[in-house]
Amino acid sequence: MFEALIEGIVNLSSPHSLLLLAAGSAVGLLFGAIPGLGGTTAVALLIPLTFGMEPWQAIILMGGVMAATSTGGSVSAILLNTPGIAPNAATTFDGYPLAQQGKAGMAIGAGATASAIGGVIGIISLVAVIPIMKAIVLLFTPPEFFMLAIFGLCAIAVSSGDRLLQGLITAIIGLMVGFVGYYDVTSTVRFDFGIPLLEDGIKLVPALIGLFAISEMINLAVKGGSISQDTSDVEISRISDGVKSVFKNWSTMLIGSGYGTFIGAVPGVGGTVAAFLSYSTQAQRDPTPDIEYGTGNIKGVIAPESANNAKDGGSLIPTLAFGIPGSAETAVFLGVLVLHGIEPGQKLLEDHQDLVFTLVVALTVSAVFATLVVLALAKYMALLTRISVHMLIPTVTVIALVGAFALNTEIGDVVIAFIFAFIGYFMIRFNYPRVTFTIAIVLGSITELSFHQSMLIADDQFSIFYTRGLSVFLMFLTVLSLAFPTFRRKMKERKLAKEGANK
Amino acid sequence: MIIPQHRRASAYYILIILAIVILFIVTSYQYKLTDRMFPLMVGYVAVPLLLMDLLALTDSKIGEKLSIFFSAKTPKEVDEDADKTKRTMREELKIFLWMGTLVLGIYLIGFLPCTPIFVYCWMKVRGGYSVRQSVYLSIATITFVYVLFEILLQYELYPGIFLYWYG
Repeated sequence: MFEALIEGIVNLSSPHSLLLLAAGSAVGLLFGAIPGLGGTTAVALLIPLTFGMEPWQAIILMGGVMAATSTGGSVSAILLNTPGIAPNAATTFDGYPLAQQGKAGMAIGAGATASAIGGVIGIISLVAVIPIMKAIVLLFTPPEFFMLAIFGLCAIAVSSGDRLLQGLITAIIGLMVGFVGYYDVTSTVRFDFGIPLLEDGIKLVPALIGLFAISEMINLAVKGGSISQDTSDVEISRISDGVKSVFKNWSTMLIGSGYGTFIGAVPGVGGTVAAFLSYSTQAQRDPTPDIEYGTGNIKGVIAPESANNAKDGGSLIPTLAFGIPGSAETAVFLGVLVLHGIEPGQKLLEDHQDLVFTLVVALTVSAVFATLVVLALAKYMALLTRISVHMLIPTVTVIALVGAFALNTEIGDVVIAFIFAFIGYFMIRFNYPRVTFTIAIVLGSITELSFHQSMLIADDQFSIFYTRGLSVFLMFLTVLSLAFPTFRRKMKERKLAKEGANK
Repeated sequence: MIIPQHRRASAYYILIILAIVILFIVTSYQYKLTDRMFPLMVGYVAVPLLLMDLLALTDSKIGEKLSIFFSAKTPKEVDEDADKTKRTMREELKIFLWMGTLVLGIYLIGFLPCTPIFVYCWMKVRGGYSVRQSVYLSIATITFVYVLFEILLQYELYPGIFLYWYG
């Protein structure tokens, strides 16, 4: 493991690698700060640039993006009350009031420092569980992989908040998309409807570019206006007070990072839940605060920011160990790995540890780098959020389409990106989660393959899924995750009844 | 069981997905048992889910129960929490037309002429920018695309079907 870590550091130490990391971090910061874009769009847009790179170079570029996005998002959350990405929403509660009180610098200092430390804690947790991950992966045979994929999909569907049914439907439609094309178990081409473009299946990269980058542009175009309505100028000072406040409130930061890492590791739950949970826990832990939460308490910035950056390390645990992405961003990142011939799971953890540690080092350096950039350039970054959508839409759309074409230099891929852009737009329009859809597309072939392997092992007996301990445990978790909304409703009703009785 | 007017667009969306799922199931039957087994299982799970999604949109007791079961919210609460962005079909069609024209343009004349034309037209017509600003951004975009993809990454960008025919 130590050798792999050294190799990771060596990979990152060349000027070319550092340049890639800086470019990735800059793109991550930019896309994080501009509401409506986000890290997933950034990773999807950058995929074509990695085609000619070595796998470790692609990993460095993507690591830079992933670690910097939520740090960038905190700037617009604090200065403009507009979260750059969803996980930064909780930061607005106290970050924006602080900015209104003239303490924007303090809030940015605290947010960026908490982001960096949270990010590093998340990555340390990832490194700590790598040896355990290797042992756990060995326990998984095809039936367990199948049940894990089903559990992952259900957990992601449940995490769609109040849209469980829609989450499950999109998961199934995503699986169906994954069935299109050549199926190597039986050497059959399925669901291609005689269209040559579909014979090899729906290509992941153009589909992801359409689903995330172009659909967002269509959505922005339909909504119209500028991204941020706030045109007021802000004074940024007292940044060092913010940095110090993080160390003063170290327990808040540690708890936030813990939430981020743990919740990030559950597929699909993601940074938003982690940030909100961390914020609400902090508010509950501190029943008599000096400054009320929601009116400009610095701990209300530290708690969510440490959580939403720590989730990056956590969400990579299921992605690298089982190929089950923890978030939309990691789903697209998984696409990058597959594109470069890297298969997640036991092989990656044993044979390509150098790549895992290159990612670890890239994420760590990028988290710190992004923080330094934010501390230095916060005011200018805020200006970016005032960019007109009419400048953003045509440029991003064209670059996204060129990127979709570049993978195989096939014009058909542009059409795929275009079709998926509309699918993505309608999913936004009718509130169907794109994350579930993406993860299901990625998991489609793995799920079917493990299903067939299981049936082969068990002579076509379905009992294989409910007679093995780990498989039954995963089945139990699946049922539990599906029952979660009902449980939540019951809890809500009980709470309301209790409040009514007290009155 | 009536679906209220404001939820009808969602109902049409579900019906379209249902039609695709049915097509998927019907198509599955032309494959061998091993090839169709898992897709069929998935397809048959989708149908009741979609029907429940449709029922949850209705103003009925069962609709309310389904909504509470799956989303822990009554349909009214779901409506209240829904995205309130005003989207008109006319505006959506306009955007689809812009994007469709771009893809068609790329197919016919290729990326390099299409990129500046699209950026210029969008900036001028939809953004209301001056000719100078629109020209600047279109030049900046095509320069970025050309330098990055053609020169640095050495991809040959699609030249358009016309060039294939006549070139």
